[in-house]
Amino acid sequence: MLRFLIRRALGALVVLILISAITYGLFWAVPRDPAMLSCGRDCTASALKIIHHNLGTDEPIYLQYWHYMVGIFAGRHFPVGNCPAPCLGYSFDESTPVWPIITGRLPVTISLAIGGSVVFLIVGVGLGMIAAARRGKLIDKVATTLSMFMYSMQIYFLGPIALAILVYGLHLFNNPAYVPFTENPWGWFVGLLIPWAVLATIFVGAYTRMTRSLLIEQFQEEHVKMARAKGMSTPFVFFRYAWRGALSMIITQFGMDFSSLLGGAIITEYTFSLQGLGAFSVEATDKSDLPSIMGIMLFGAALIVIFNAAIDACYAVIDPRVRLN
Amino acid sequence: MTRSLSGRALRYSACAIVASSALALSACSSGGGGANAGPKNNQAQAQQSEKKYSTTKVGTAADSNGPATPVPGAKNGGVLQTYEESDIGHYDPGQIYTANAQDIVSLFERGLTGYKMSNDGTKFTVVGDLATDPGTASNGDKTWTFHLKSGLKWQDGTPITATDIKWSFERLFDSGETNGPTYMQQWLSNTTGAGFRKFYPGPYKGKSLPDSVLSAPDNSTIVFNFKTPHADLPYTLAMPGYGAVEKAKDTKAKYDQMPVSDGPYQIKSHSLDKELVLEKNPNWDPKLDPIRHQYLDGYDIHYGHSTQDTTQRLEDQTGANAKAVSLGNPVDPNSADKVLTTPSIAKYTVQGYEPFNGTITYNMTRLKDYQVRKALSIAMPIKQILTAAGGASAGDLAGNYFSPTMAGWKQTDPYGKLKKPNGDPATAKAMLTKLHKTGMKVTLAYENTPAMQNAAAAIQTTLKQAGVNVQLKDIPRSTYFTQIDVVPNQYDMYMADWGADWPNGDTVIPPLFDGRQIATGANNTAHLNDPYVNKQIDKINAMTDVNQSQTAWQNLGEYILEKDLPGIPTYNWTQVQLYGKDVGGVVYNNVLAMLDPTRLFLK
Repeated sequence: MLRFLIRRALGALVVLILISAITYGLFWAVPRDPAMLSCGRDCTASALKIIHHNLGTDEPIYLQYWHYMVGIFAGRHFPVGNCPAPCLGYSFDESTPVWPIITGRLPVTISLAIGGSVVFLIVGVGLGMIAAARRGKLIDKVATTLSMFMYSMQIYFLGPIALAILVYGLHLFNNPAYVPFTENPWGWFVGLLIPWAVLATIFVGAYTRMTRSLLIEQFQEEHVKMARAKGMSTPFVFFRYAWRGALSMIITQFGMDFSSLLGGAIITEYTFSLQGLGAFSVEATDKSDLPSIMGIMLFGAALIVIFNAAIDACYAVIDPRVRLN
Repeated sequence: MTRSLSGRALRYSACAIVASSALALSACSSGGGGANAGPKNNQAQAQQSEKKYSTTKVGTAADSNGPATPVPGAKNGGVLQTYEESDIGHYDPGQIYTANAQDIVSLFERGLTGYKMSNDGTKFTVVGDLATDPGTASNGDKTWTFHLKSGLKWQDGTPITATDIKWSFERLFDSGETNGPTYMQQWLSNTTGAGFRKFYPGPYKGKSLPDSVLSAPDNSTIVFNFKTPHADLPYTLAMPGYGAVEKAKDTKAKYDQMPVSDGPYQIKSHSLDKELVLEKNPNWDPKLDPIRHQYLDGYDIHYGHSTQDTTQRLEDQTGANAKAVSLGNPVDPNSADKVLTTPSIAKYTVQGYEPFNGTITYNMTRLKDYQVRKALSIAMPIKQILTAAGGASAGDLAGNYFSPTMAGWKQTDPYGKLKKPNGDPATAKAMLTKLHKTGMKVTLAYENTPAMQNAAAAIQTTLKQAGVNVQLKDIPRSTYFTQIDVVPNQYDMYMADWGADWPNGDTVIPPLFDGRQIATGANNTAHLNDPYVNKQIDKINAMTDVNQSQTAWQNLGEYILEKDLPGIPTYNWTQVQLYGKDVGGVVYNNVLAMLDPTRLFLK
């Protein structure tokens, strides 16, 4: 198990280094000088030169990359200010290190991701299990149709409608807002209820269909049929054999979805004016604040790689064959 | 303001160039109505706010005395919730240039001078803010002397001194101060571009500007010595980018997130990109401030709210939304018609002009023939361009290069564009036929925003009728300036706009049309280099009478438009804003190009 984890960790590290190198290369392929963001009105060549020096972008690209990587572990000092480790660069637009911006926005994104995940896991997986257990029955058809409907929905469509009806029409809720959980748990819950519901909707459809099809597939497996033939109870067979067989795929998909959400639920955050990583990535892209874009990219990539490694570790627990492979 | 991006999110305060609307600067327009259609509903038209022209003048010592003129019906108390597009990013006065930032920092940062607005928003007077008057000129406007009011204090109770003021200007020379205006640095060092940084490296290494340039002979006197006359210095110093900084509390880069207040409010907390909470500054004395009020207990400024979001909230007018405003977000263009034609909502709108003026700029390096530029101008469908930007709520058709916010502005229309705003392709075609230019190809560059794309399509269609084959060059917003600013470049025409830093032509004509400033990254994207114009610029800059120079700039603008035609004006920017019904004192400030935040109260 330890060897497996070490192997996965080293693999993840290589992937992250590759991503960082490629991203950094692309960073400078963009035909926009990010220094212009800090350049005011008289943006002459000499003014740009000063800003490039301030932000350390006047060095050869390989040296910049090296300093960037070192800065992640050791921090950096720019003429315009200190950037403590882990330094993911200095935002041209915000005149502040990127890492504190990311960590400042992370609670919003984590709250959104966790709440949305809880909703879509419970509802989506639950509906899928019921549909599989009652395959061909009315409830299966209702669940399948409903999941198809939800799967075809878009957040940018559902969100404004939810606001128009629940907030501005019926006045059942206040405008969605993020309140730190540590300050006001009830305010946190109520403020994010609509975003959670809307975010979960599109996932519910996908998870319902996935769970249903995986379970039905499991029902056809020889070992499940054998268990039934031996007279084991339906619930026991369902959860002990079929469910466990389907679980690894559900976890895999959930791991990827959850890590993507932690990278920022862009449309949901924008729709509900929540200042998470998704909104930050949109703002940074809109302004071509390349250090910020770079930071978000790396952070998001790291999350996905780490979660995938964690999921692989979970496999080893769920499915002993993984260790042998 | 400076160059803007599409969407009116960031407008710079003095001047900018290309594009359409995202961050705003400030200014006026050609008088509501005109050629562009107004609201369709007469009843709503009667109830909604109107765009008002404003006038600006330099005041006296008497005008500079506090307190500010009371706002009728004002009440004390309460915390106002405001919802803004994005964090202004910079709080250090030296880094302030965008309109959004200028508006918000006016609550807690003050300079030597400032704009005092009448209660109806139509009259602006440049007055002494920290200073006792708008300044005393001598030596042919090369020397300016200011005296600080007695009793001024920073939020920590420390007296504000001339040493602080001198320090505030010295620190602008530091290489870390790159976002703010550079007029004062260039004037004090008698340099152009970023040359001032070689003249003086800033005060952080222990060196001070010589007294021959900037001196503080006593605790309350500050003297500026320039090599050339600067008659409109009171206007320049009114830019929030020249706000005062307490020397003892200057934390350099960190100051940008937590400045020390000398205004009616101070920063209680700031969560980057999320929220700025302001509370009363106990050491602010209303008797020493002719501009601001302190009716509210504080402001809770929420960042990250799109125009769609704020429009929806403020249309709602119930609960907490009735007690809220957006200082900077305009009404969402998609909702503007509904807002302006629904009487129950329209009555909670204010409108005004911004200092921006749009043009289709011609690249004179490529389009060398005046007659060709004239034919293109005559065919240009400026009404469709305005319609694409949002119609009547986005602006008024323009006849010249100046926004109506400019002092001495007058409507002119040498090419008859206001009479034929849809363009006159038949006449243009006849002109081009004579020139043997029918079928000519021109490249039009524009930002790839929906408004710009629609405008470009309209231009292409209309100019095709004139026998011009317009090749559209759709450029991502993030790289637009980089490509347009290059000298030379491969485009024949660009969609552009510009806003004045203060309502005088010297922040419009020289940056846009001085042939000696043609360079990559500079703002003369038309590449106009007319020796007469260059000579006139020097002549007007040397004038010591502001009123005389204002007229001279207007006249020079007219000359450029009629004789050189480096671009055809399209529309003057205007803005419509909504506010909660329980918020009082709401007036659109033409100079700030946003709601005036210093006079608001809760009913």
